[in-house]
Amino acid sequence: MARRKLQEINAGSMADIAFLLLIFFLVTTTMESMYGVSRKLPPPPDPTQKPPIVKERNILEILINRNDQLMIEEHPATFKEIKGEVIKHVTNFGKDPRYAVSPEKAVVNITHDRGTSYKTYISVYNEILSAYNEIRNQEAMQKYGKPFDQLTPAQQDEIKKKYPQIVAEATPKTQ
Amino acid sequence: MASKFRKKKDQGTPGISTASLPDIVFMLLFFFMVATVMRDTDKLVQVNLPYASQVQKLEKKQLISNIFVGVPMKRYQGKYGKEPRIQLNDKFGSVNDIQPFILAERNARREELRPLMITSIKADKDVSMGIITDIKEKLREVNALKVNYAAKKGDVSQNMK
Repeated sequence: MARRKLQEINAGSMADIAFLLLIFFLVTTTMESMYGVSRKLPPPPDPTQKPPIVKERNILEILINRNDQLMIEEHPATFKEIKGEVIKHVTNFGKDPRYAVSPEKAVVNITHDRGTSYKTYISVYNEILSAYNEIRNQEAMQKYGKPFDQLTPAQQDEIKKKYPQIVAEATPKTQ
Repeated sequence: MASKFRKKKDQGTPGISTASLPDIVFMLLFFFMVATVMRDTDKLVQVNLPYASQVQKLEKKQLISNIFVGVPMKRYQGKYGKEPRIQLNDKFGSVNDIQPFILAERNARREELRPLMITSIKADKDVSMGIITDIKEKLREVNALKVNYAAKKGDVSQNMK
C-alpha cells in the first residue's frame, strides 16, 4: 500500500468535452442572419413640383401619437384592426363611400409623432405590409392557383400593378 | 512484483494514444472562436431589434451599409449619456455625419453596384421615431432611398412585452 504508482488520468473524455464546446460555439455564433422590412423612401422633394392632390376617400389615415396610441380615420383603434381596415380600404372598388375608389388609387398614410416608439411604428408598418401581402396572395390564388411568391416575375408585376403598395408617411409635426 | 509488471507490458500492441486529440479539437475551437468574433464592427450601442412578420432576408452583405441606433453601452454611458445615439461603422456619429458616411460607403463600392446599395437601419425597439425620421430625411437628401428596417422574425405582439 505504501508506494503505489500514480495512475494516469484518462484523457479520452477530454476530446468529448472539447467537441461539445466546439459545437456550442459553432451553433451560437454563426446563426446571425440578417432580416428586415424593406422599404423605398420617396425621392427628395422637388420645390418646383406641386404635391399631387389625392381625394380624401382614397386615403386611409393612420395616426400614432407619442403614447403609442392608434387612430384610424379619426377613430381610436387597436393593432388588430389595422390589417382588416387596410384590406377593406384597398379592395373596396368604390362600394363604400368611406373607402378607396380603386386599389390603384388607395393610399395608406401613416402619421407619427417624434415621440412615437420605433417598435410601434414597425408593428404598424408590418400590419400594413401583411394586409397587402394577403391581398396579393388572394389575387394570385384566384388567378393562377399559386401563392404570390411562386409566380413568375411577369405575373407578380401584373398583380403588383393591380394592387400597388402606396404607403405615404407624413413628416411628423414638431412640438 | 517488479518482474510481474514488466512482463505484462511486453504483451500485445499498445493502443493509439488519444491524449493529443483534445489538443487538436481545442485548436479548432479556438480557430472558430477567433474567426467568428471578428465578423462585425464593435457595437457601441445596445440594439434590441423589434419583431416583424413580413421580413425579407438580406442576401448580399457587401451592398449593405449599417446604421445602428440605440442607447450607448454601459461603458460609454459616462461619456455619451443615456440618450439614444447613432453609430456609423465603429464610432459614434450625429445626424449630420450620415451624409458623409453614405457617400464614403458609396465610394468604396464598384460603380455598377452603387445603385443597388441598401441602408440597413438597425434601431433598438424603444428608440423614439424622432431620430429615425431625421436619419430618413438625411438619406433622402443623398438619394440613398433603399432602406431596410432590421427586425427579428416573429410576431408583432412580441414587441409589446
